[in-house]
Amino acid sequence: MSVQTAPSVAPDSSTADGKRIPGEEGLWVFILGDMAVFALFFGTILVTRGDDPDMFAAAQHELHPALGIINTALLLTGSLFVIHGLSRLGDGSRASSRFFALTLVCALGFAAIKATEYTLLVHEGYTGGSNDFFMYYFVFTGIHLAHLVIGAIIMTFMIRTARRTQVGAGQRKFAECGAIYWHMVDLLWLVLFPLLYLIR
Amino acid sequence: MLARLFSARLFSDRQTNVWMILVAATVLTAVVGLEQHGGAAAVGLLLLAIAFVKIRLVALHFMEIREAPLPLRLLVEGYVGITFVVLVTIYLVA
Repeated sequence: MSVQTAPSVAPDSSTADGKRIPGEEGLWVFILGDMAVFALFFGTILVTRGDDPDMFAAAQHELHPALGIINTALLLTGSLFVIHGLSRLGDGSRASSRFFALTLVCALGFAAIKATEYTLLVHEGYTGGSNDFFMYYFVFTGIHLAHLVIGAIIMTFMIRTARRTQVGAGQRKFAECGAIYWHMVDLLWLVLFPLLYLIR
Repeated sequence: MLARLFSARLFSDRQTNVWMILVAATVLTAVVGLEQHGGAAAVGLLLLAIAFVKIRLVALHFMEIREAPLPLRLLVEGYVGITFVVLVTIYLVA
C-alpha cells in the first residue's frame, strides 16, 4: 500500500497523463543546480585522491566513519519521517507535525554528531589547513551541513504549518517543497560519505 | 507516541520498504568500506555503485521522480547516470 504524498495539489502541476512535478518547477531548477555543484565537489574529491593516493588514504584513516554511518542512518530516517508527515498533512490529527518534529530531531542529531566529529579532528590536530584532503573534507561537509541547517529551519516552519486545522494548497506545496529539499540533503550525503570516508 | 505514529499500515508501504533497502545498503557500505584491506579498485567501484543505486532510489521514491513528467525524470536520471560514469572514470584514470 502506497503512501499518498499529495492528495491535493495545485492543478497547474499535473499533466494530461497523470504525471506531475513534485513540489514546483522553480524548486527543481535550484535542486538540480545544487546537485550539479555537488557533482563538481565529488569529482574534486576523486581528483585529489588521484593526485596523491597515499596522502588521501592516510588522511581518510584519521576520520571517524562510525559517526558518518550513524549520520547516514539519521538522514535516511529523517527522510522517511518527512514522507509520513506529508502523507498525514491536513488529516486533522497531530501526526503530521509529530513526524516533521521527528525529522527535525534527526537533523539536530546529525548536526550534533558532525560538530563532535569536527571537534575530535581539531583536537587530534587536523584542520582545513592540514592538507588538501582535510581542506576539502571541512569545506564540502561544511557546505553540506549548512544545507542541513537550512533544512532544519524549513522543518520548523513545516511543523507550524502541519499544526493548522486547515492546510491550503499553497501550504501543502510549501511542505512538499520542504520535503524534496530534505531528500536532496539526504541524497548528497549518500555520495559525499563514501567518497570522503571509505573510497580509497 | 511512536507506536501510534507507526501503525501496521505505515510499515507496509512502498516508501518504508525503500527506506529498509537504503538502510541495508548503508550497512553493506559500512561492512565493505570498513573491512577492506589496501585500496582495491573493485571495492571503490562497488562503494560508488551502491551509493548511486541509493541516490536513484531516493530520487525515484522519496522525491517522487517516478511520478514526474518525462523531461524532469530524464534530467534526474541523467544526473545520476552521468555523474556515476564521470566519477568512475576519474576514479580509474586519475
